[in-house]
Amino acid sequence: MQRRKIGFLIIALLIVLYPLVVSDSYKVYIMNRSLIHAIIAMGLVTQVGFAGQISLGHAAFYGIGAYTSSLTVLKLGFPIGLGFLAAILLCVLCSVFLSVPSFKLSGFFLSLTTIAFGHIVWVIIVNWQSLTNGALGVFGIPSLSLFGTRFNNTHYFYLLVVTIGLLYFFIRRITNSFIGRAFMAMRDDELAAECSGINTRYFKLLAFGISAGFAGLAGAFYAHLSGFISPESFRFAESTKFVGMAVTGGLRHLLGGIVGAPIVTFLPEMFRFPGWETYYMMAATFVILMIVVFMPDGLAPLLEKGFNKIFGERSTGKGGSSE
Amino acid sequence: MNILETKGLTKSFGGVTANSNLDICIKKGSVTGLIGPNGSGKTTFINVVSGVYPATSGKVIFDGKDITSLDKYKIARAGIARTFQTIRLFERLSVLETVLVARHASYGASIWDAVLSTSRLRAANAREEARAKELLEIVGLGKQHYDVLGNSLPYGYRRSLEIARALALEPSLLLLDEPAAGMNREEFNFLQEIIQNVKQQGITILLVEHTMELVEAVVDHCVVLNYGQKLTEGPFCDCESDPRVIEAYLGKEEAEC
Repeated sequence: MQRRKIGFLIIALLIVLYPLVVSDSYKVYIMNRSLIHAIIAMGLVTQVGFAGQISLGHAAFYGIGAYTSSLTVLKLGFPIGLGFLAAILLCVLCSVFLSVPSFKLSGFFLSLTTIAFGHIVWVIIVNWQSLTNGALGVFGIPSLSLFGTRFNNTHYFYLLVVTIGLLYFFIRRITNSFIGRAFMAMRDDELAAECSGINTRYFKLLAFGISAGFAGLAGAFYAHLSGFISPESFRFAESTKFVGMAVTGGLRHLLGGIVGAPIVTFLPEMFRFPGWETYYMMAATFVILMIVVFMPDGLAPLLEKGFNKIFGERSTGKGGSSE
Repeated sequence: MNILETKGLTKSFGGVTANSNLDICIKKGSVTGLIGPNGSGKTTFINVVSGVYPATSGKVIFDGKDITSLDKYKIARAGIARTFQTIRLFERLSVLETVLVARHASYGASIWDAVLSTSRLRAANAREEARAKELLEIVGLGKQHYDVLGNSLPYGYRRSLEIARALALEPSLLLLDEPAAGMNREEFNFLQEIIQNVKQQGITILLVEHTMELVEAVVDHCVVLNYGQKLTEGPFCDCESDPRVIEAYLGKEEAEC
């Protein structure tokens, strides 16, 4: 037990020290971006991994969140906190529309519907110029600030880590409860779940709502972190990247999103060998492909096993460790 | 008193009428056998009653209420539980979890109870787990099985688990779709015990089965289907010797010679 505590302490210390040791502010910025993506991937783990409802359109919620928060703050003069809240609420509301097709469709057909949803939202963002400024994007989005200090990358890093900690706690409690059990029953056999008294419509709404809310929050973070958003950040390719992060980390593991997002973000950087820069993306994609093929459960279960080996097995419980 | 009544129940798939104008009554507390040759519409009947297929026409009255167009989960919560002809368990859930899925409605807790881990949730967890363990014991699954995956159990136990999951709804009517199919002698005897046991608890059973030995041993009343229509009904011994039933199963004697 004592050894486990030491293990957690080491991990916590590494996280706290990260922005202090890495002096390059740009690297911390990239890390922040990956943590933002981790929030979305966590939502996808809940929706796809636990509830079995595929989504290839999450860039849409990311975009809705980013635009909602920045436009309510810039045009309506909302305080940023309220902008965040508006972003989350609007995404949850939109998820209701997207989850209606899931009542009848699943698997391949549902994924097509979510792709279409992503495209529709993207087209709206590009063409509703009076509101979104079209392809040019929105400039001058104010950064978060506390007691008059504007947040820099290090502040954002700590804020994101705490946020992710809270969200992890949230989905862990849910998935380990009778609600998570209903999610998994629905995922494994929808008909048998319904004949066991599970209202699958409700749980589909809930799963879509949770992950859309997560993506909306991530979008708001992104807008205020970067200060500039344009439709380019919310294309279909981003949606697939989010799913890729969840799968790389472990689609059915609570830590899947948190592990997958930084790996998918930083892996390409490791392959920038001098003289071979043209191929770094190809190399990174190849490695991710290999991970998915040979470790279909993702990296998180592997890391958990490694952690347990070094710092001792926990006697009870299952699923993820903490941050 | 009848717990289930169907009136003119018809189900057709395109041009095929799988259930045609069925008037079937099931007495409360009885074990009713639903028999008939392959393709006679027995499984379709179970699927229509449990809401898996919508009825084409006709009515299903359960406990005095019309349940014909209710959602599957509402029918299940109203008190009609079922098992499936090909066993359908949850691939990645343990034995105990599988039974707990069907206890969902009895938790009486909300999503916020789950997030905040309130005392209400913890009380519900303890209560429902205890009940699930009781149910597992009834069907012969013990402590050593709680944490293994349902699908990793031997065949007979998987059937038992499906029955435990159905019983977890605290049903007043249990629909069993060919529970004895593919069972060995030992499993068969135990299944018979389970059915008797369930009956003693006052749960009405509708049994679809091809193994006549089981039907003979447990049913009070028999309904025979053929080509989607009711051929006859009555005590098993009467049905068994009815020439129309024999003809439906085996064909006409002249034709064979």
